[in-house]
Amino acid sequence: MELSGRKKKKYSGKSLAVTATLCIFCVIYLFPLFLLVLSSFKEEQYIFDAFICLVLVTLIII
Amino acid sequence: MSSRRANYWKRILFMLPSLLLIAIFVAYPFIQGVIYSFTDWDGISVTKNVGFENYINLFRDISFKKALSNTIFFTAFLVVIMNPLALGMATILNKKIIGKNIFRTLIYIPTTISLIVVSNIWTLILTFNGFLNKLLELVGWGSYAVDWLGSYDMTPMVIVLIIVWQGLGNSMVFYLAALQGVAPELHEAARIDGATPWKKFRYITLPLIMTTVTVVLFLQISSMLKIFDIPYLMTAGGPGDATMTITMLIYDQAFRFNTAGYATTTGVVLMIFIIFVSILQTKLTGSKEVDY
Repeated sequence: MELSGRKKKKYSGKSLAVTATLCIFCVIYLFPLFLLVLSSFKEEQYIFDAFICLVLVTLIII
Repeated sequence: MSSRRANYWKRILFMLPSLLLIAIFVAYPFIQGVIYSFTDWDGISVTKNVGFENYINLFRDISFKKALSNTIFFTAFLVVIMNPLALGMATILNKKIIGKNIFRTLIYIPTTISLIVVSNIWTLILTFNGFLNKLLELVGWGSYAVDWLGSYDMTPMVIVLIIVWQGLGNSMVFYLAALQGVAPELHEAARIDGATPWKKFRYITLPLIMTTVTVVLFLQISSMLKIFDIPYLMTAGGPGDATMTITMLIYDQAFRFNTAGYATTTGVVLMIFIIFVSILQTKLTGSKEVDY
């Protein structure tokens, strides 16, 4: 607790390790999407459409 | 008495529009489907009643047996892999970790992508000259490179893993919602009593989220027994009939071989099978539900 009365947010070393593991997992897990993004610049039109949909949906979820 | 009777008719009157819609769009096609399953309908011309001939032929059909065993394998494999993974992921993302909302979003993203695009990306990765084999060669594991979509033993498992990849976020969201509904006081009390994290999960969390487990399992099993798109788009049932599912068989029977009556028979049998499995599953998991 800080003097101002605001609760200080603390993350333990374990939570940092979990975050790092999740980061690695997400990079591997989302690798096909990275390929989709790459393909959208050179492949057919529908891949580009899919890419645009992906961006829009991600923005909506966030 | 007369007022009660008037109320009864009023209720019926209010329900009538919904009942009418159900009758037109659910009951009529269903009954018509069952009727067609006893005919030799080819999808176009006038039908002739053939009695139980379609059903007898279906149970003698080798391709039906193979498609049924493939579908059961897909369903069982998916349930075994997807649930622990989704539950584990939900448990991790329910804890206090940095950027958990970002991770939740990232893991949910594949669920939002069209199945056609999913199958296209994965085909790009898994074909013999695809990305995965090139990567294996690059790191010196070229001997492990196989035709992931052309191997009779490997392809069904690969297909299930892709379905898991695509659907993990969906199941995770269900479990996450259930975990957030578990009262923290129960965990606190268990912690004071000296319970280990595993015991807290096994004896508090799991029984309390059993209702969600029942729902998620029901959704997974019923959708997997009807799986069509990803195996059809990626392998079209191949190699051979390694990834042929019942719905693909129905499609082939109806639109390739023009035996729509026979396809309807397969559809009716599939429906009965889904109802049977769903009842069995809800009875099994439903009996483990608790309410503290």
